[in-house]
Amino acid sequence: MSGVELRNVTKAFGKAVAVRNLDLTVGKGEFLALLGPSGCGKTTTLRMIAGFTRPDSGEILIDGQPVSSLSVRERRVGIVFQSYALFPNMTAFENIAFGLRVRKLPEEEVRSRVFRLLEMVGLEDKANANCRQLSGGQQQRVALARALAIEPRVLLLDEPLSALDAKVRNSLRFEIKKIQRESGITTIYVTHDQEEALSISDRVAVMRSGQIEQAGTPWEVYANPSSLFVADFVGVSNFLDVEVKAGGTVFWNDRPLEVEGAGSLAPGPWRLVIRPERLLPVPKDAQEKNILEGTVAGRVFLGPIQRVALDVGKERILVDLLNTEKGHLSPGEPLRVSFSPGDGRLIRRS
Amino acid sequence: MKPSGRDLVQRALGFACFCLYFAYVLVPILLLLAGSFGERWFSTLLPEGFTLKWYWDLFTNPMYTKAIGRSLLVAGLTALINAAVAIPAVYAVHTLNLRWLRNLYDSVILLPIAVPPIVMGLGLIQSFNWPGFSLVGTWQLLLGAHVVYTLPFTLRPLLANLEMIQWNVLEEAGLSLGAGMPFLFRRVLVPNLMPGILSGALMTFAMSLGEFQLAVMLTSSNSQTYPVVLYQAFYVSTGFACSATMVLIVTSLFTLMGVLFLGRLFGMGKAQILFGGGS
Amino acid sequence: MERRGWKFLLLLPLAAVLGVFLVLPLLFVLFDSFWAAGRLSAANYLLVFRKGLYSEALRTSLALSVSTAFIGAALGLPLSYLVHRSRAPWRDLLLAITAVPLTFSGLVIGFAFIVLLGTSGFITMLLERFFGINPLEFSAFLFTWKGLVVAYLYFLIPRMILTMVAAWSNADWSQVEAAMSLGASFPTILVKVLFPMLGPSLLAGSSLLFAVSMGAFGTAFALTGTAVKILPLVIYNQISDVTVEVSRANALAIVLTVVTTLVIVLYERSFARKQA
Repeated sequence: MSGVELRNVTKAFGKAVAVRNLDLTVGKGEFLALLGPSGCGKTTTLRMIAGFTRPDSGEILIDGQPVSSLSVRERRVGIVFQSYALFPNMTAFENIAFGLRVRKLPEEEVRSRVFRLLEMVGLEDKANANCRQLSGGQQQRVALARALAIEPRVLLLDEPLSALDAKVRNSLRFEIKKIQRESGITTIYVTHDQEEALSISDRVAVMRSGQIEQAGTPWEVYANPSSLFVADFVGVSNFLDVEVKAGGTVFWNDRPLEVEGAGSLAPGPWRLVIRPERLLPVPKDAQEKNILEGTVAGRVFLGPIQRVALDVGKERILVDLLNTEKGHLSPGEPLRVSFSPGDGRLIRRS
Repeated sequence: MKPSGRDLVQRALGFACFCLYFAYVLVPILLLLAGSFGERWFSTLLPEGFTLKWYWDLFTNPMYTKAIGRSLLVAGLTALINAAVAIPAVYAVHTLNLRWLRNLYDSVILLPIAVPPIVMGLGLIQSFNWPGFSLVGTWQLLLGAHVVYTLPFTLRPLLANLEMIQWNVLEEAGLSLGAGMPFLFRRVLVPNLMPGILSGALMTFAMSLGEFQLAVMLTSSNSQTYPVVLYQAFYVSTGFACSATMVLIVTSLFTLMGVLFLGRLFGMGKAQILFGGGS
Repeated sequence: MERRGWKFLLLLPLAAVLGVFLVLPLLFVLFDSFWAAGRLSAANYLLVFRKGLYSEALRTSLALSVSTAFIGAALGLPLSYLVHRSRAPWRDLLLAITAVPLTFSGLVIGFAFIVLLGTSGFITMLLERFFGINPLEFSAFLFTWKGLVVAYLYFLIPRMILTMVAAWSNADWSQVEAAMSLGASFPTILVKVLFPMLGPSLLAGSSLLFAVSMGAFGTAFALTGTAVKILPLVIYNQISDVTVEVSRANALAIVLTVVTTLVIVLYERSFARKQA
């Protein structure tokens, strides 16, 4: 049984179609990141699962049960908002207890449950703090605990970390992941930050114009982007416009290249996608396949790596070099790089 | 770092402006205060002697006490009706989140300046005066006029309040936690909207209490409110007029202190609360 | 949920109150203003511009409003900068002081200025004692429209200050610094950077001041009775005088409303532009 399932769901606001014939299955206990640029429909999708927005057509199931007829209150979904949405007139304790008191649980049980949750998010000493006095990170922890308190069937997080600064964002990211793993709650996490999506989730679904462009493990999505959009949106890519000839030979500006799987492709114009870190420097006299030779146009120091802009013929490509490899590259210096046939991916040009 | 000569001059100039502005606002009030306790104030710079006579006269004169009572009634009801009308409306404007509705609301806020009280009064006199049915000269008609005239002072802080707490998101959070609307209103909306409700009610109350322009047009001799009889007091004696004026000044100042205190307590911008309509 | 049509019902009480006590009376005034000698005509409006008393009242009101808008802006601008630049306790004090005149009834302000500048007012006496200025001659101006300018400024300057304080704090000072670093002269910075930055708010504040002075009459009433012929007071006179046709007052009222509404629209536009 799946945790959340969307079947052929469509939602339009006036003429603008936000979500189009969307099919999505999230396994029970799975952590899915919904990744996409703003306006791609990811928040609308989340709001339809929560019950704030009603789909025009299609069906939504939670734990195998259709929820179209259920209101937000009845769906038992936990939601964490970008703006925290803590009740300003209540303390941290009261915020977390809110959903339990609504359910008229005995006060004894409310207390013990809330303190367990406070402990889980590391805020035992802030129980009676007014939420205005808490930092952004602490507020979001309270919000997370509040959402978990009702033991939701699904946990929905809408860009929960984008209002926080980088340091807090990183530490909270791993804490969310840890808590999710311990509680085993089906979780959908909406974000526009590809690094966040890749690092936190079991599976990433990349959305574009109301549809899912690709869904897979972070590794699959990064290594095997199924479309140019995904290749461009997730991570950094080089795009080489190539010609695939009959028999599987690939030509890039009349330069022959060897790419795995090219033999089974239809001849014609294709685009070759290579991640910059898959381009490895080779010595002058090396006789490897797929050697690209060019001159350094510039470089950016990024800490563990340096990103080099390399002019090959008339085109410019990016190469990531580990900082152990070459101390200093100056513009104008020659550089030879190569990639293995398995590291390039061909996607049809439209 | 030692301040340079130019800095000092600038600071002195700033301080001088500060003091002048202070005096400009406060001196008239202080003069009225002095006048209200002075026995005589005729052809002298400042009043002479000390007396409570003027206040005694004021509060024992049935014309004035009746007017005060009537004004308190009208102002209190204005604040109440305003809250009853404005709270649902502001809730709808905020949660419906429609562009055209928001624009309409922004226009409504400006109505009391766009339609001056003299025009409103003129219209009310004519449209509520029919043979066999006339409300002109009753305090009830003035109440209706005051409700409209003071609406912006209620609407403005309420919407600012809702926007500050981001009610839309709070409501969604509450629903997702399983709360029903009545529960959410009672436990979340009302407590968080209190600063807006109170400062709006205070402002409205004070505005209605001191409102003269509509009152002088719409009331008659047996329904006069305090500002109308205050106008007549100007012709009695300086001391009496000062003490009668001080009544309104003191209520205004208390209102203002209340509003500023609320703003401070709940961290709302002063300009947000105070930005007002016509005088 | 999406079923939210019921929320429109919550707007009904507000709409009802506005409809009964504002829109309906206004329509009444509008309709009757076109009624003269038992039939529909524009005669009342022609009278507004022909009859000396009416056109002069319109001119006086416009003069009063233009003066208060300009002087209010000229005084409010530096004062708002003072508020903007001052620090914590002083800033709060200044803002609180600024709010004081806003809560006052126009009547109170009128009487305060009689006590201050009237024939035996405080300043009048001071001037007589130290400079030998004739109190009667000095205080006579208070009861003309120029005197109204002085009294009106008391409750208008705070409005200007509040508008401008917001503008100062929203102002992007890095633009000025960028212009300075690029070697722009002070006049250039003033015209090319400061004015575009603050101009809309200044316009908004001025139009607010204009509209308020156009419509208010409480302070004027307290100072002069109906002696100063500004438009609202002339309208007031019309209805207290039984011999005069109300339709004329209605036409005057419509003219007044058109002017204030136009100015208020200008206010909203320049305000919206600032926020965009």
